Amino acid sequence: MVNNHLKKTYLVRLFFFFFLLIITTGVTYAQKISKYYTSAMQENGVLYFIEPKQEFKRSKENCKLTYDLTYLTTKDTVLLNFTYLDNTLRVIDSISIIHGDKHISSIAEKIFIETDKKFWKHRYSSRFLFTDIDLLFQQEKSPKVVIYYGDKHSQLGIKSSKWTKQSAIISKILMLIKANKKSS
Amino acid sequence: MRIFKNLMFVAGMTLLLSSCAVSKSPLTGFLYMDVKAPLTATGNSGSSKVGTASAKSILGIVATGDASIDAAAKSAGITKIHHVDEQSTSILGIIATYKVYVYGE
Repeated sequence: MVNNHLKKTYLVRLFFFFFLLIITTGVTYAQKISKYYTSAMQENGVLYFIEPKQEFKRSKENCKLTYDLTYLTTKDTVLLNFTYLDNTLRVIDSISIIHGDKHISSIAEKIFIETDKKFWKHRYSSRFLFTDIDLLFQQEKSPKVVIYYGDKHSQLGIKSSKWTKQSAIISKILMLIKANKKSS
Repeated sequence: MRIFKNLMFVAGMTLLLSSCAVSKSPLTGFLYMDVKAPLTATGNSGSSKVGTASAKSILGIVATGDASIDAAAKSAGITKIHHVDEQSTSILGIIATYKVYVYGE
């Protein structure tokens, strides 16, 4: 009877140990910055692709914006491709990022527009200076993204907790890019 | 006794279902998988753009998404493909994702 009880306790403990191990493994791997970028050697430098898991939102109209960054080390500019979801079809002219007193803007070039259920999915491309993007991710305060279409615009924001977590990761990747640029 | 039985049931179900949500990969990880591998390469030279596309599976019961090379190339406006990589991730076989990276001009 005592032996059976000990056996059960041992098995329950083993089960919890196994469960905690799985959770810990997942969390540890979740902190890896390599999850957020890829790099490929090119004849004219290294091509980096950064994919922040960030979503800018405007809750009232249910608009969302996701983006990715592509950077070739021999160039001064970063290619910022973004997907903007809106209930209405828009012809986007430009995109601005506001952080503190600083505004950085770029003309938006259309890649494609699709419909996704009740939303219009606008996929556009823009270019920003690497130095401006680097400075943006060093900011602790969450920025605003403004999408301009005709004489109207849409302003989107992000939760400061999400920004703090993600900007630290992206900032570290940009630091890594700069370190590799110096050594080449 | 009942608690023990419930725990064993949960463990059994986890093991049973974890073999379901699996994505295509050259290697398999039972607890955790995050593997990147080559898919194809072309004769085109150089790349300045990267596009991605992904599909997701939950418990191997529901799977959605468009992880085609075409969708990935389209997302970055790529017309000349240089090479394509794939990435497979899986956590306990509960959630599995398959992602395609297309590099090109």
